[in-house]
Amino acid sequence: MGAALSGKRVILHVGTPKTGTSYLQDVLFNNIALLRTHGINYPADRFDAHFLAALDLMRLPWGGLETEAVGAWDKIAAQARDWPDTTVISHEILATASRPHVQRALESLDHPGTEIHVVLSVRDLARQIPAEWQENVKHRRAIGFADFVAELRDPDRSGKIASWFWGVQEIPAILSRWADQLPPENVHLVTVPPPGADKSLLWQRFAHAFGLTDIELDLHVERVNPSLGVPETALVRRINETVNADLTPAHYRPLVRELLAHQTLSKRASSPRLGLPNDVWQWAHQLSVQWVTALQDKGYDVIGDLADLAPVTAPEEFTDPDSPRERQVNRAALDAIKALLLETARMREHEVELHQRIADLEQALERSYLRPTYRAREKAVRKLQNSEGGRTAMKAYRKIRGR
Amino acid sequence: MSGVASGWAWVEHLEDGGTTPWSDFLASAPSAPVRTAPLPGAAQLELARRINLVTPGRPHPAVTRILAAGAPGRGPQDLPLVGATPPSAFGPPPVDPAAVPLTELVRVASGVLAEDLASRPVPDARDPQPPVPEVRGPLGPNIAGRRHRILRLPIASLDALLYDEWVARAARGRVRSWPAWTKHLASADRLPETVDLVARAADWDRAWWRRVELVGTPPAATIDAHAVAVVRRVNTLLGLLVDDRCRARLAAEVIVPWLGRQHGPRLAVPAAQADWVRARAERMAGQLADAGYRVREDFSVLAELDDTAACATSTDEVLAVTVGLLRDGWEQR
Repeated sequence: MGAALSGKRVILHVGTPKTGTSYLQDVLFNNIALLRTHGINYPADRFDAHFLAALDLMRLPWGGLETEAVGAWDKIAAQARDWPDTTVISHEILATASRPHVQRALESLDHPGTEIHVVLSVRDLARQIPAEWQENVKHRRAIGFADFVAELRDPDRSGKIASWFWGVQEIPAILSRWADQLPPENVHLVTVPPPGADKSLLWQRFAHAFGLTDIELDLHVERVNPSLGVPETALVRRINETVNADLTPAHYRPLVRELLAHQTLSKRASSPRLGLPNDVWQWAHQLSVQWVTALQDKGYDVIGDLADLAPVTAPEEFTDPDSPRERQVNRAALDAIKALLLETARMREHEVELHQRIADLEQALERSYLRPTYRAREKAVRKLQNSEGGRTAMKAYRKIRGR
Repeated sequence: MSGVASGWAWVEHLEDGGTTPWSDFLASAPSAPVRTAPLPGAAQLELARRINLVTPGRPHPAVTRILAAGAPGRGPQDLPLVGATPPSAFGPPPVDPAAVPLTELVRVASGVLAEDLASRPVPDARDPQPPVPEVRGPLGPNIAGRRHRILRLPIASLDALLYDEWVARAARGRVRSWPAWTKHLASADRLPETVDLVARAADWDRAWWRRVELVGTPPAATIDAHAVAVVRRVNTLLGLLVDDRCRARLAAEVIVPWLGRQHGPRLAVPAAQADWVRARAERMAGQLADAGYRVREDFSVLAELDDTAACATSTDEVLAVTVGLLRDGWEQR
């Protein structure tokens, strides 16, 4: 796309979750300066700037993080309006924006005066369903996998889980909200390659979609959002059931999601992976085929292959995360306990260091109190406070010093 | 006649102050020019109709804002209007506005209320501390007597004191739901500082020239739990719209004065936490009695929990409060 276009434009990457979006966003953030020399603006002063902008645009509270999002959308929209060339805005939760939110987004970017492109990266439902369940578990939910799937299959879709899932995953509906006002050639679908494909293939597709193919980007990123296996996800779900009432989101994020899920449990790569039982796979496959049929006549620019959305091979084996092998869960739990103990030990050592620093500071303070000049000043203040004139003089002195 | 044209005719009807339900309106085969904007969702349309129901036939400015609003937070978006939206295999199923869950109307209404508050001009001012609505004797320091020697602490049932503290927190900013908050307190076996009368009294009594008095508080009007439910929703969204300082100003100048006028039923402690509250109240009564403070009240009041009040709000009532606020504003009611 990028090579064929010229002039001022905004590329809005609006989803979907679990399609390699974090990696893309980190690469863009790490290469901001280089991208600008190529006319591409990624307006972000922190790695999660576009996440905050999405919260602001969609008026979406997020466990207290939303207080950092005040005015975030308007800020990046203003930067996009001021940039003469290409601006990229990317966050996967934008997929769930309602029509009024989309309207506000497009207006803030000077549409139709500015050329808007919408990019949607998409992956087959058979992989998205378990991935989204796992994401729910990593966001404190305690719902079991079977109940999660049942909510998704309820035609009513009124529950919070179902409305969110279909909001961010139902590709034709997302595009009807985001792309209704755009010519189809400005809508770009990036498909995630099937399992087993060359690992660099997805990046190549992203690079093509965003016009990055000719830029020597630093592709190394620190932040990863790795997936968990069956016993590990089951363990986190049980942890949620146990701690949800007592652990605030501010502590849950670093301790459970980051320390346990991302840094510890995700390393257990030999555990059975999440998947779908055969009947659910059949249902998801049928739905995917309907989506592909609806999409292929739209005239959208497909980067990859729509067939990636409806793989024909059924899963070989399903390991039920609602009835995991307890021995595997126990082993994962031991790893979790070890990680928490090590973290507690680290924090205790840090606490000792802080106590030592406080003691040093108290000693330094004590010494400064004992200095003759301090004692003389203290004596003068006490004397001045005993008389009306002295108090007036003190007041005037403090005013002059701005105290 | 196209369904979309009928949908836009209903929008016109609502903008003019109309109150006809969609199913009746559709039966008359109405039509209006189709606008370029997306047709408002069923929740927005039904909320607008409910605003009009208060004073039918008179267009209200809030209706326009509601019809243009998206629903904030998580939940279904853009519920299509049945009969006005072409059938689609994708997206949420079309609904009759009369069947939209009331929680969805409250959700849209809270968003509009928060946007209205956030768009108020903010005069330059020092950081304000929002006052606590005073309903059951002050929970903050109640200092009286010559040279501020006496701390008077209110003796009322502990569940009522906890409720007042929860209301005060809700007025200032984000707070957990009443069941979640009380559950959290019970699981930590910890009272909020303002309600921990033993600790407050002991702290004050440390200096020899000070004295503590324990006084009964007369039965007073409580803040309506439904009004608190609205404030909680609006405050959560305000966190997205304005900075902390502005939010504190809005709380002090708009939300708390309004909340102070909303008298109504309070919430009872959920059954699962009632035993804990009762036990803490009895322990507190014993500790206060042992401390030998001047007493003007029977301590047993502390453990007399209200088991007649409801533990949860009614969505009907919460919606009624939001509709009233959208119609009349924060200053009028």
